[in-house]
Amino acid sequence: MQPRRGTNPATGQVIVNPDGSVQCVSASTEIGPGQRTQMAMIAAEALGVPLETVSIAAYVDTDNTTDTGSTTGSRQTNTGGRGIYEAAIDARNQLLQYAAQRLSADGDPVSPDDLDIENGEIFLQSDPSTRLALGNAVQTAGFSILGRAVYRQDTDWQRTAWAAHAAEVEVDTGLGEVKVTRYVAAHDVGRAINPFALEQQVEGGVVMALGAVLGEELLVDVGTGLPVNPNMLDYRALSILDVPDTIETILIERPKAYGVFGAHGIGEPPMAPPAPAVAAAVHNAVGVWMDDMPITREKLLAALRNVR
Amino acid sequence: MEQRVDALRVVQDPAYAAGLTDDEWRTLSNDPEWNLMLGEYAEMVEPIMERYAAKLGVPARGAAPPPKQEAPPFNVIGRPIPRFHGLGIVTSLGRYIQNMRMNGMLFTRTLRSPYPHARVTAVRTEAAEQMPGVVAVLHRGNLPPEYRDVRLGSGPPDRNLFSEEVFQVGAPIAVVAAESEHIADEAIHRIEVDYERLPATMDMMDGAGPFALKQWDNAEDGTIISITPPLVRGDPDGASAEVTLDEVLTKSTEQHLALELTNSLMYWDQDRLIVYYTTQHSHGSRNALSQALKIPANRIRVVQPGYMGSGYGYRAGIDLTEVHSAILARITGRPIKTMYTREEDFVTRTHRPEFRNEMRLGVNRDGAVQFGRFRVFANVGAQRGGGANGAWYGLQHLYAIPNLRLEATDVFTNSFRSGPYRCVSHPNGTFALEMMMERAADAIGMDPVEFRLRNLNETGNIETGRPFSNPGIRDCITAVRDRIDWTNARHATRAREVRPGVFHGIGMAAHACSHGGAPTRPPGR
Repeated sequence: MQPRRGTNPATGQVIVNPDGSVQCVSASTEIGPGQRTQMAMIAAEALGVPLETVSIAAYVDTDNTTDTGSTTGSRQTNTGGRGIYEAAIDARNQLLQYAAQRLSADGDPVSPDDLDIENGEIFLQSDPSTRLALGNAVQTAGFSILGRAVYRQDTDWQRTAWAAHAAEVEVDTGLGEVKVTRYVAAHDVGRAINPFALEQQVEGGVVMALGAVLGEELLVDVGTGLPVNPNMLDYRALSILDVPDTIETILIERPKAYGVFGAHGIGEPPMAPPAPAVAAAVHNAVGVWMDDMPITREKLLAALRNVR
Repeated sequence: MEQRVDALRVVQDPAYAAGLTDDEWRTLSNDPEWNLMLGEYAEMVEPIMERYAAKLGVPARGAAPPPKQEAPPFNVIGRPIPRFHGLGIVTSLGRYIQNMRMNGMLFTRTLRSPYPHARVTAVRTEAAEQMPGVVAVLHRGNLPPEYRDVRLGSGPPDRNLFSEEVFQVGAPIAVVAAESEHIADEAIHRIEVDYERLPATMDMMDGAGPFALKQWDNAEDGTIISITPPLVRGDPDGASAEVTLDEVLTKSTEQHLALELTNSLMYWDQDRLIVYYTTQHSHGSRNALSQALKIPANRIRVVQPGYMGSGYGYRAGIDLTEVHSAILARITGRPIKTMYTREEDFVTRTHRPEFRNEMRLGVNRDGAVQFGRFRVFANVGAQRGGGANGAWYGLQHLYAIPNLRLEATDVFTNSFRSGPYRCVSHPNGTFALEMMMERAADAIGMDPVEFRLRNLNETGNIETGRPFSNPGIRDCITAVRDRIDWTNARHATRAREVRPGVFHGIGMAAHACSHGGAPTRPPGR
C-alpha cells in the first residue's frame, strides 16, 4: 500500500548508544538543501545534547527506514524534521526513565519528572550537582535506546509560506538588456533552525528564478515537435556574471503553531517572487510591462519600440 | 527641546549625575545605552540608582536587569551550521551514483520516438542484437508478458513500458543493454522502426480550441485533460469597480538543468532488487517499482546516497526507463547501469509547464480591490503531473478579494510532460497576480507597497475559515521596503538614467504559497 496522498508521513528514529553518542535515522532524501544537518540540530536540541555528539548518514536506504515523504513541496522540515523531533522526545523520555531508576538505586526515589538533560548530561533539577552521563543511563537500560516516531500532521491550520522580494535593475534600452543590481528577499520562516542553510536556500532559489526571468525557456519546433535547445549551451541558464552582486536575505521569524520549533519550510517559496519583482522594476525603469516570461532581449526591444 | 544625557558620563562622573534634572532622568530611562548598562553592567549603574532613589526619598531597589525579551532557550536551533556532508559535495568525494561502478555491469541506451505522435508498427532489432557486446534488446515485441499491462502515471494517455501509440518525442521504443556505453549507443542506431505518423498538437491554445484533434476518448472537448470546477467567492460577475484591468500574462516551459544527469545502478540478489537511484523519494521509488514489477515492496531496496546533483521535483519518482533497467537486470542476470543523456534528461522527464493567465482585476481609487476573475491555462504536455489549478493558492489567499472567480484548464499537447520544478504552478500564479497588482497600483496612482498592504489577507482561508498561524506577510513586505529604502529609491518611470540609455528601476512583489508547512491539500479546501 502506498501512503495516502496528502497525509505527509512524518517518521524517524533516534538511537542513543551506550557511549552516549546519538544517531538519527531518517528516510528524508537529501537533494541539496541540507535538511539532514537540520535534523541532527533538531535532535540535539530536543534531547539536550551537544550537536557534535549527533550524527546522521548522508544516504537513505529503504531497508532500514520508514517513509517520511518525498523531498518535494518544501516539506522535509515538517515531515522528516518533525519525525526526528518526535523520535528524540521519545528517546529523551526513555533516557529519563532509566536515569531515574539508576539515581533511585543510589538513595531517595527519583521520578523522571525531576530530571532534565543539559549539554549531554542528565541532572536532578532540585540539585543540579547530581548528574549522570547520557551513556550511563543507556547502560542502565542494557541496550541502545531507540526513540521512534510516526507523527500525524494536524489539519487545523492553513499552512502558508509568506515572502516579499524587491529588485533594483538597470535596463539598457540600446541592448535590451536587464541587469539586476540589487536584490532583497524577505521570508517568513517561522523559526530559523539553521540560518546559514536558510540563506543558501533563498539565494539559490532567487538565482534559479532569475534564470527563468532573464532567459531560460525550453523551445519546441512546432512543425516537427522536436526540442530546439535540449542542452546546456542553448538552454540559457545564468552564469556567475549574470547574477546580482549581492542577494540580501531577511529572515522573518513568526513561529508557527504547526511547525517543528515553529519552523516553516523554505525550498520552493523563493522561486516565485523574482519574476514579478523584476518585471515591476523594469516598468519603473523604462515604462514597459513585460507580460511574457522570460524577458528576452527581443521582447524587451520590441516593447521599447512600441512605447516610443 | 529634549536634552540629550550622556549615559556613560552619568556612571563615570558623580558630579554630572548629581546635577541631572528630573526631566533628564526621564530621558535617561529611555536611552538605549543606559538600558544596556542597566542590563549588562549592573554594578556600574547601581550606585547611581541609589543616589537617584535618595533624591526621590524612596528606598533603592537595586539595579535589576530589565525583564528579558522572551528569547527562546535554544542551544542549537538558530545557530548557523555548515552542512555535515558539505565536504563530500564540494570535493566530489561524496559517493555520487554517476561515479558508481560494479563488476560485470552492463550499460543501457534507449531508442526514442522522433515523432510527437505516431503508431509504432514494427521494430526490427536483429542487426543490433548481432553486434558484438550487445547482451539484450528489450522492446514491444519481446517484453515478458507479465509486464505488458504496466503503466506509469495517470492517463490519458496511458504510458506503457513500450506503447504502441506514442504521444511525445522521446517516448521509448527499444532499450539496449551492452558491455559499454559506446556499443549500446551504436546498437540503437541499428534498430529499424516503422512508424505511422499521426497528427499532433503542439500549441497550447490550439489544443484548447474547439478544432483540436481528439487523440483519445475523453469527457472534455478536444484534447483538454481536465477543467477544474471553478472557485467562486462573492459575486465576481456582478461586482463593479472604478478601474478594471484586463491582461493576459504568459510564461514559457522551464527545465530543471540539474547538474547530475538522472541515472541508476541496479541488480538482483536472487529475488530481491537492489537499486541505487538519483531520486528525491526513495520509498516512493520503491513503491512504484514494486507495482510495476509486481513484487512486494519488501523485496526492493532503494538507496539514494545523499550525494546527488540536485533534483527539483522531476526526480520524485521513477520513469519508464527505471522499469526497463530492472527488467533488463533480471533478464541478463547482471548489474545494469543507466545514464540519461542531457537531451533525455531534458525531453523525457517533467518540466514546469507553459502557462497562460487571463486576468481581470477591479479596484477602486481608494486602493480597495473589488473583484478578480482569473483563468489559468497550463500546457501539461503528453501527461499531466501538476497543472493549472496549482496556481490558485496565491490568487485565493494572498489578498482579501471580496469577489473572486478562479478557473483552471489543463491542456494536452504532444509535448514535454508537466510536473514540479521547485514547485509546479505557484510561481506562475504569483507572477500573474503581482503583475496585476502593479498595474492596478499604477492605474490608480497609489504606491504599490501601500496598495498591497491595504489589501492583504492576514486571517486565513476565506472559504473554509481555517486560520493562518502567525502570518508574517506584512513583516516581509515592510522589511524589504525598509531594507531597499523604497521611499527614496523609487522614482518616476525613466527618471533615473544611470548611464546614457541605461535606466534604473525598482520593483517588488509579495508571495503566498502552500509549500513548506507539510500537509498540502487541493486548492480551495
